[in-house]
Amino acid sequence: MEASLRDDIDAILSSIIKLDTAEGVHRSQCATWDSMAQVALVSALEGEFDLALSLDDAMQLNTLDDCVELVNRYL
Amino acid sequence: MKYLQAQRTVASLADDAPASTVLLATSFQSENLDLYLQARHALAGHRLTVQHLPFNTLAQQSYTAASLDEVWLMLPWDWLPETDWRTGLPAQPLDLADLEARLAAQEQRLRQRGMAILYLDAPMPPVMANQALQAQLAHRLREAAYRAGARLLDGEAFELPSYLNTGVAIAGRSADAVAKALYELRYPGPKVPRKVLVTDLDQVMWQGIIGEDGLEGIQYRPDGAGYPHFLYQQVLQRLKHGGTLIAAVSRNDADLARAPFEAGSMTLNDADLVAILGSYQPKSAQIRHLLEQLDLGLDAVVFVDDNPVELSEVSTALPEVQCLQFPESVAAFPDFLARLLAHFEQDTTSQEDRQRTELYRTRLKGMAPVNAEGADLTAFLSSLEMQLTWHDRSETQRDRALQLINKTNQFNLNGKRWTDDELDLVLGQGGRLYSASLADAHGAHGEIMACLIDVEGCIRAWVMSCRVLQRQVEAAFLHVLTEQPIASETLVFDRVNTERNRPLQDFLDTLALDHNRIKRDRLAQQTQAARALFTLRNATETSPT
Repeated sequence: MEASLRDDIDAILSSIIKLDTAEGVHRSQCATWDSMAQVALVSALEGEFDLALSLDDAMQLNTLDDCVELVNRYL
Repeated sequence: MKYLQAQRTVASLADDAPASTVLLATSFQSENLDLYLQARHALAGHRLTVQHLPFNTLAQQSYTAASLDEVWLMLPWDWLPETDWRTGLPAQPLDLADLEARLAAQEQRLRQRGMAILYLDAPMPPVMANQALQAQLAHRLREAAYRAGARLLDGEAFELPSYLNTGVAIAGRSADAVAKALYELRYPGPKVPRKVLVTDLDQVMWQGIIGEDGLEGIQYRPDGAGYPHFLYQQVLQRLKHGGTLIAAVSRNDADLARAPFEAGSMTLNDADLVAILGSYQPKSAQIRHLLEQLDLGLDAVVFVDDNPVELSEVSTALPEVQCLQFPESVAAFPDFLARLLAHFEQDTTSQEDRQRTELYRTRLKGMAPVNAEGADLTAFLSSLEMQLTWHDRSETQRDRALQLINKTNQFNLNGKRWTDDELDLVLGQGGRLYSASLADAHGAHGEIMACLIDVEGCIRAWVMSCRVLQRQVEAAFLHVLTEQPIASETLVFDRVNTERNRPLQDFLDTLALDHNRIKRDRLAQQTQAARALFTLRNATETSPT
């Protein structure tokens, strides 16, 4: 279950930042993970998992691990 | 549809799938809708490219030539920029009267442009002086959207925190629902057709008002003003043959509403409709009751009316019902018919479809219009900001008042018709002829009420146009009447119950009259609440009270 969730989030994030995988990627070191990508990521996670993420939480997403941890917290 | 499913749906499209481009015109960041919109098209085998306007250029776009591949997703502040959360509150509360010309101009501009519009009824910041005015503004904007041909979507999809911080107005979890609505707007033809068409009668099924113009005065034949109504009836007949249940809900006596169908000279006859409900109750209550009897959900219904007040009342009370406005102009008629038919599209028609009306008519046999309260109209009426103008017609300009008295049947105290000489006699003895005009957020309704009271305090004639029933104008009028310089402390209603004046009878029954008499102070007390719904203007004065 956990692996599946991580895979799904990886699929979402990697498609947004246009990489094969988001594993090991940090927002500060990824040119395609800009503010527009951040907005798209939040909307995509909300759409996939039927969530309403707070702005504060959304702005703390810097890695795939952050995304998985946040989604787990909301689910 | 979820995000990854949308991705997979788009990815599964064949390489040679037909491709198209659409401009998704919004004033906010709407790129998060793209994938879902593409997926909705992909489900139908189409590849879609979505284009967007440069930020904050939607208003300018309305002045350019329309493109066929354009769909607008509008918010309240696209009509009135002062209502945009991101620009802050205006220094002073807005005055709707000052905005009316702008709204009307934009309505016209968008209608002429003719593109598909989805109006998201998002909450607005408190820009009006009070809640009633705020509700009135929201109502006016919905009406403007209707008039521009928009489809309405409730405001649930709007996400204020996201809009304030990033300019993205549609929450991620609502993006697919909005994309679906946009797709259906672009390609009308829902997969699950609606099953019931509930229609108004006066000015919709026919041109004219049956209660005032009579059977001979209404028009429904294929010539002149009757043409759109003739065509509308043909469309309804086609829908009925395809299995759609047609029902009528009208502010009329039941027999009056039925008469044109029973006369046998219209395209539709009595047997084509599953029910014809003539009632003076709110239409939302009638529709709810009808659907309960049919054992169908409200989401099965399309409701057609010419009156934006009725449409707003129904869409407020029954958001599941799809409301369509019967067009004011013939030019808008083709688009109206296309949008109407799109809700009922079916590929095939079975024998059961063809017999459905008969089957349901049997079920509804003996069904009477509901007498329930229905939607609470008090807040709604407050939002209309109704203005009553009082006229003393005793000396001059009495033609319209006399015409009203001699034409009105439904809200008529006794049905008596008056000649000029008879009127002169009563006025010559010290009687007074009063009338009232009504205006509201939707415009002026003209002189809609007249009352002749003699020197003894006996109300000899009292009528009101049926166009303004349900607004409590009659009670407010009586309240103002009690304030007039009338010698008698007791008012007497020269009441005669006729076959046609049920609305009047129902109203007088609420006043607890004693043998048709009532003390003025008691009448004032009973009508105080209704009076509060109106701003009163005396025709001889300049400032309202």
